[in-house]
Amino acid sequence: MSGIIKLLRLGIEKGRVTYRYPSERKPAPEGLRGRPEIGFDTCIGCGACVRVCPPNALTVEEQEESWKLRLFYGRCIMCGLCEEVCPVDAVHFSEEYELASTTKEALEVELQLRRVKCVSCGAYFTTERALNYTLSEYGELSYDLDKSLKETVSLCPECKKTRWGDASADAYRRIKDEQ
Amino acid sequence: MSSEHSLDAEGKLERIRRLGRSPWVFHINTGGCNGCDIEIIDTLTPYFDAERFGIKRVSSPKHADILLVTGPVTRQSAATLRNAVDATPDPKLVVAIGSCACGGGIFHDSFTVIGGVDKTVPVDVYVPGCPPKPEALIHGLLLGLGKVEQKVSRREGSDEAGHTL
Repeated sequence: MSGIIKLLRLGIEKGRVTYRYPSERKPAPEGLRGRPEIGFDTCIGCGACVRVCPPNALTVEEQEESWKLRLFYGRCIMCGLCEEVCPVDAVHFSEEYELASTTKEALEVELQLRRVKCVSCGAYFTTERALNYTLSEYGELSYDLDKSLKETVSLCPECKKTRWGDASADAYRRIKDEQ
Repeated sequence: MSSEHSLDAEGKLERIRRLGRSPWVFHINTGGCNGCDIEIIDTLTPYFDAERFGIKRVSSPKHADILLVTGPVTRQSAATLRNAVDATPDPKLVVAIGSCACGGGIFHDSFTVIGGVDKTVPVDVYVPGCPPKPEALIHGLLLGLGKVEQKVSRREGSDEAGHTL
């Protein structure tokens, strides 16, 4: 009996503790990583987030002319690694946490970017935005390379290899001839 | 999968709405890390108080209306999960809680894991999160019971506008 009285007194002292969730909604705690969001206007398509994603929630589908980034956040563990590695801060975790859905399709995000052709061999090799990003980042470097920088970054890895190989072979031959 | 699972989502929702009594839940862990289980316990405490909606945990799937499944479905637990779903009387809701139950999560490519719950039994509500907040869990349960609206939808984007080399 005394137990019940104690309990009643405690109840009266403390009052209501219940958080009446759907009718009252408190702001999310600071630093909460909720729904991951990809900036469709800022993503350059470098694929760093795809490499680092532990549960492979981010995947890439490379087609001839397009580069498709898929995020299925039904698998995302909200670790925040993609946000950390993104060079252009395109990934960001919102405070939205009510992610319940009746279909799996509603949990998907898809971003499609155009790819560009290599100026030498004509094969598609990277996204247009990634190329623009490289030019804007390294365009100010004052190398001798500067003149042909745009041409150099517009080459696919294979052509870059051949070109550098040819250039060094030429240089080697020249040194040999001089000796 | 038996034929009783072939209810379409709409008809099922209508039947759940017309249930006319408190929805009781049965919780089954199919091989998760216990993070989501702790959130389920949190949801049942007086602070979040899922009993406001009549949601009460029961000890047998035979008494339950809603199955809360946490964790990726491992090969060992798939048969148990199927049994539990078969033992639950219709109309029933299967709620996949956490990223593991929704799509395999961090364990999705393990050799012991079949995948998300939907690869073994049909799922009605997906609640992603690692683990989902108790609020998110209540939101998922109420979504299954048709009391709140879904907040997420598929998003698509491309760089077709502007951007020239």
